[in-house]
Amino acid sequence: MSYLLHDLVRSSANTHPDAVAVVDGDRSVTYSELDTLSNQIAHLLGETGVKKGDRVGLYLRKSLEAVAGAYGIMKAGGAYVPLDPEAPVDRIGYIISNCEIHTLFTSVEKAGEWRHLVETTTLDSIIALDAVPDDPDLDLGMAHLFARSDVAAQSASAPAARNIDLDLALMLYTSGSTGHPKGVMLSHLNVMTFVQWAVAEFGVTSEDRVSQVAPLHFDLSTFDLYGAALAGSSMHLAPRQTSMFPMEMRRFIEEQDISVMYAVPSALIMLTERAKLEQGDLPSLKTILFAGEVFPTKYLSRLMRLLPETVFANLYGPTETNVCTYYRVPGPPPEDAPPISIGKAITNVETFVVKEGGSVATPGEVGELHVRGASVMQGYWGDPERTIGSRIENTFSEGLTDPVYRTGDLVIEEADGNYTFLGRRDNQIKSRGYRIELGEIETALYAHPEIRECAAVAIPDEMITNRIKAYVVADGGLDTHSLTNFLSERIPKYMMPGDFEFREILPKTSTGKIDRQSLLDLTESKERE
Amino acid sequence: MSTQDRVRSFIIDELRFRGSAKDLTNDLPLLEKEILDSMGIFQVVAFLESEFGIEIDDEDLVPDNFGTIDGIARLVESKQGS
Repeated sequence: MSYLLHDLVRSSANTHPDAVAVVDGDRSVTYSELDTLSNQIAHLLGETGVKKGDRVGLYLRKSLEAVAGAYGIMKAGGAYVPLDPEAPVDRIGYIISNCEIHTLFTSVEKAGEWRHLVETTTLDSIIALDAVPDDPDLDLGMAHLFARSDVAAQSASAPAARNIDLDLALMLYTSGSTGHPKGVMLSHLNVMTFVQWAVAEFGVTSEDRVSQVAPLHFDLSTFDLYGAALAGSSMHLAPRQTSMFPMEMRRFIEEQDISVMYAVPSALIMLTERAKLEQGDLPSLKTILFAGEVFPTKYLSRLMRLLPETVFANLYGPTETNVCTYYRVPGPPPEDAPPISIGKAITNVETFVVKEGGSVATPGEVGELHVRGASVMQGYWGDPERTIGSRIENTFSEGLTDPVYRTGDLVIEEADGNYTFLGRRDNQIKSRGYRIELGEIETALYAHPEIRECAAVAIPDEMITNRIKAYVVADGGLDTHSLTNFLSERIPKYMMPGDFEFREILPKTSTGKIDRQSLLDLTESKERE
Repeated sequence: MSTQDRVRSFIIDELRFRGSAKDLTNDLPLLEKEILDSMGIFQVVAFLESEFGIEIDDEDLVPDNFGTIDGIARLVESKQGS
């Protein structure tokens, strides 16, 4: 029995050492090689001072090395913090300082950012397997650089760190409404609860070939990494271009014979609409799991008719609980049917709906979905106030002291026991599967000295769930181009408004707040023109 | 304006290219430099179709055709010639 995520690799290395663990383009490693390499990384991390509970940044594109790095960090007793390699460096610096990262596992493609990060944060050690030792161009001042030779010099034996499953395994930063990303703390148990359920529910085995499509800083990636390791399947890293070119995604699935795929609906819509699929294509695809946003029924129905033999399931849950409910789609829905259900709770997780006044709802009543069980996060890093606000005391059942997570999602329980998702209680939105706090965009806008007032609004979009538009009142001659340049230093690309409108004044409510509803109405009536 | 210049203006004005026009050379690798992402590709396609009155097929959506401004211009010209 494995209780820790890295034990899954150790265990698969014992049972089938020569089976392929990870495929990265034309490179691959076996379970035995992955186990050894991650042991060596763990020993080196120990030398740099990493000990139980420490956070270590994982700052590189997904690759064999990134996967080995994640395992190495956990084997050293630490928790890995995946840092989006495409995010602005100041956002990365914020995260590094926020959770006091001292060691960064990275790659020379990010070398241009290292110096700045070392000078402005808590970083003191950098490990890059592709770095040339003593490269004079890589002068890092006070920090130490470790290369592949430093890893290779380490013992291949399992490190001695002793953890239990309540220890932190990873931390995922999500958009925060106050203007900074917040770190969701996930334990080994949190992830294991989801992974064990998913592997059993969808019958993933060592014969399967699991795709790895989502970025590592996205919670979907935990299924790919640890589901594959638990089942002893091979995991196949999707090249970056597959997310841009539907035909490349198709080629990736065909060439790698992918049998299990977990992706956001917007990626699957591209595959449905622009990859020239015909019924009977992609015969290897046994299971398609999707999460992160509503899958528009029209496209889901089309994809299901193109792939009649494939099992489709909608997995639902915020990063704070990973997946907490799921719905196996019984067959292609009519194209004009309402969005499909988010289903029922997964194994060992309890969900219930709480009404406005605080009492538990009965089927048919609208309320906020609450979650309890082993998948509920440990809290937000360094933010006890926000943790208490969403990870609340269990006052719903007598005698229980375990925390309950408030999702902020409004749902209704249908007569058949499945939940229907209705919307959010706050200003959080989804776009292309990314979760975005409109307040974080507004904070970034307000940081511009010429901006007097602003509001970011979400405009519903059939393909990507929402597009973002920013209304701005500015002094002087601020234009879209310079404002975009300013924002791109502060927020990641997926948060960037696709449209800016400069106005003399923004509409206000009777209490003097910016009237978002009237901005939305204004946007909608303009779109109809 | 040449095809290349029209595409360049679009990338600067609509796709929010962060540098100046002279940094955005005809052979700058747009995909590797992450100037084009999945959204950007579809915006470029919509632009090419309306600006040049051509139709981009699904099989034209390959890295070779969108890797550089020159690549995009070649795609436009091959469509105009056909």
